[in-house]
Amino acid sequence: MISQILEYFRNLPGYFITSLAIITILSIISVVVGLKIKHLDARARPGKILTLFISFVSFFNNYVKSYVGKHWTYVAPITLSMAIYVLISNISGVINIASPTSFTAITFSLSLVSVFVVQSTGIRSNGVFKHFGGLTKPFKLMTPLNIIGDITPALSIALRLFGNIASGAVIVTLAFRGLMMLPLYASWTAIFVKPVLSLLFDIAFGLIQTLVIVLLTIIFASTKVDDADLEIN
Amino acid sequence: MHEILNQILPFIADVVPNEFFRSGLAYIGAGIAVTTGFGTGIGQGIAAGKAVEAVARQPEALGKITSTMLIGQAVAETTGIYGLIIAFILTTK
Repeated sequence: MISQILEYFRNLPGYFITSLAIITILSIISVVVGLKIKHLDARARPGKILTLFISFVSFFNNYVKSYVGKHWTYVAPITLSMAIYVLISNISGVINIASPTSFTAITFSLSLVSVFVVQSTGIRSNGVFKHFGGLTKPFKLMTPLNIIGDITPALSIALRLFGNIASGAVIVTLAFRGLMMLPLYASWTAIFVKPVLSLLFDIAFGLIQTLVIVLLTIIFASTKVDDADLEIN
Repeated sequence: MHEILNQILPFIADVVPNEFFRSGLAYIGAGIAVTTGFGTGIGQGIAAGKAVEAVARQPEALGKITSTMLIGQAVAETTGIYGLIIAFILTTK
């Protein structure tokens, strides 16, 4: 039994360990920052880094508030954690480790979280019966189409993230390996080519895809929210 | 015309559907799948062009227009990405 578990842990794929490492580091940082902010004196002036964290979180909260209204306390933390995780794992290709989001196992878990957030926001806002009763709107014949429309975002979000990051990784690896195959007088150009490609495919596309996955989650959630909940005072 | 066909047809019939034949067809299929980028490029170009028009009309809304354009382009990119994933799958055949 124990040897089976050990065997399982020994055969974990590399991206899984990268993902766990990212989550561990992010958890430690967020716990430390959270404790620091919690014990902050109301009249004290926070340092520059703390101010950065506070203003970023409040900016994100306001952004979510403008979409989902009253339920931002539920949607904002989970989407912000997802955003930070996706961003860090997207740009982890810069330091030459395979980014976890270029594997479908990770992206499908992320898209499941996204769909869960969307559906549970609808349930929190409307109640179970009204939320699932909304599937029969505008008339009963539309029910299968509505169910499909609720489920396919899981597929599209996962495949979009995976395709973007994996294609970028493939292109960067292709260029790097191809240049390294050349004789020495030509292969040294890899030092200039790799950072440029990494900047474009890992950092720029990673940022855009992070924005897209988070915004799509928030926007899908905002379509499920009852109109009365949108106004906050 | 008839003679040419008669010359070629025996060779076509001789092709044995072995593993090389299959992988060759899979590579051709991958090439066809990647052509989905055609529509994606047109869509993204339209989005970018309209964004430029919007910025020219209302330069103060640059930030909002840019972020909206990026989101729209990333969503429009999805079909091209599907084609690319299919091509990835086919190249491992």
